[in-house]
Amino acid sequence: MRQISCELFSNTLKSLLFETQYFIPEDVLENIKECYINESDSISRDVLNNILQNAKLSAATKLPLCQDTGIPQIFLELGSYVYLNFNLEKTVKNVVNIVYNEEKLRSSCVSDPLIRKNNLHCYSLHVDIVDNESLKVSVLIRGGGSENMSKTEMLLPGTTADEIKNFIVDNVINMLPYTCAPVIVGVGIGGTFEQSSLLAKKALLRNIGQRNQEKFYSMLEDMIKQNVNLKGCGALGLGGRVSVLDVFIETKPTHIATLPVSIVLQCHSVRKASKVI
Amino acid sequence: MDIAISLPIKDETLLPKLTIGDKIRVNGELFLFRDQVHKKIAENDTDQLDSINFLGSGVYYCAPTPVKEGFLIGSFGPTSSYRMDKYTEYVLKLGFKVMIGKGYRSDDIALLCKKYNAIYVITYGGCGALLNQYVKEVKLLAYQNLGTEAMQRVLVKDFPGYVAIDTFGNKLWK
Repeated sequence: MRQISCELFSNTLKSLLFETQYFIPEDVLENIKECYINESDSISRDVLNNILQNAKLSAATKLPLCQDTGIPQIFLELGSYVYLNFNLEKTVKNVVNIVYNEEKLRSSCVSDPLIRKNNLHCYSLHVDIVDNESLKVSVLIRGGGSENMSKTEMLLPGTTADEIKNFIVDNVINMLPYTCAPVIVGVGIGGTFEQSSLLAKKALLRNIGQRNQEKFYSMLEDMIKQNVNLKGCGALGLGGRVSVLDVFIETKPTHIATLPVSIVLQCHSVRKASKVI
Repeated sequence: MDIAISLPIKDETLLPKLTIGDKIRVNGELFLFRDQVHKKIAENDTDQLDSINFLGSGVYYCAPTPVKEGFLIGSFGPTSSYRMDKYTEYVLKLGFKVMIGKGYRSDDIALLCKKYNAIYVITYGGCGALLNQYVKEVKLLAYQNLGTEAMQRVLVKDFPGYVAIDTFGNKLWK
């Protein structure tokens, strides 16, 4: 058994939470630059230019990339041969509070969904047990605007690949005008109701251009991206060449009677980072 | 060429000259508020607003991050406007003429823009660090207990945006 200390875990999580608020990942930034160079629509071009300027300014000034500093969604891949000699939940809560207070990140959560008194920092924590001796910590910061553009539908098992493609394309096109496009589309197909939405979320952690290993799904990813971009929604949905930077599909075995499909849109302010301890 | 707009609007003939897709630069006073204050205005819970004149004013749907040392305000990007749609007429009745946010809005808003001679403007969503630069002065006005959603008055210079719905009810989206 390998022991990972509270200090090592806390410091890792702290640096990921810090990094995500001020730095757009390199793969996303490069892709947005490419979109900017190739864009001919004047509004989209101006928007993309300002997105790039915003990334520069945030990195330099440490003003958050987006005022919605979101809910940190923390995904752990915990090796079976790793021993944590501390309370994981308490530690995560503590580190989130420290970083959000120290960095003056917005308290975007209400303690009760109906009474809605704005007074705290929230997070979500998902742990997968994997067969190794390390701990992978991934952080995805999700603002409310992006989170609202999510959908899970229980389709019938006989639904064809073409129908699923159309279902995803139609839903993405309907949600796009509300988002800070260009977006990344995360898709989860299969599993149970809650597993499919988790798959869609985890799909967002992939790097731009990284395809599903199954040829069938990688082709589906490309087709969805192409079909949506052909609609010409553009940056912020105001018209232009690119509204989707990439599409990532993840799948899981499912019940003979079900076919859950989840779609999650990630705005251009992609705040994600991972580290293996 | 960007079109400069001074807020509050004093000349009623100014806004009808703008059309969808126009890039504008806002100068002057913006009131910051969003979901919770909209709800209060719709429910007539407005004692705290009695002394404020909103005629010709602009509202910016924004809940900034807390202020960091060396800055006037935090990250200053817009929130999604569609959530304000059901309360918007109450706000326009107070005299607001310019609404700034991000994203698509319902057809009702196009009708309301026509009825109240108002416009809806989209600014750079997800660009809070960039938009911070246009802020020149900040004052907390009302509903302090709402935290980040409290109403603030902000003076801006050259704050950028695109006219997404004009006073004739035209919409920019394709």
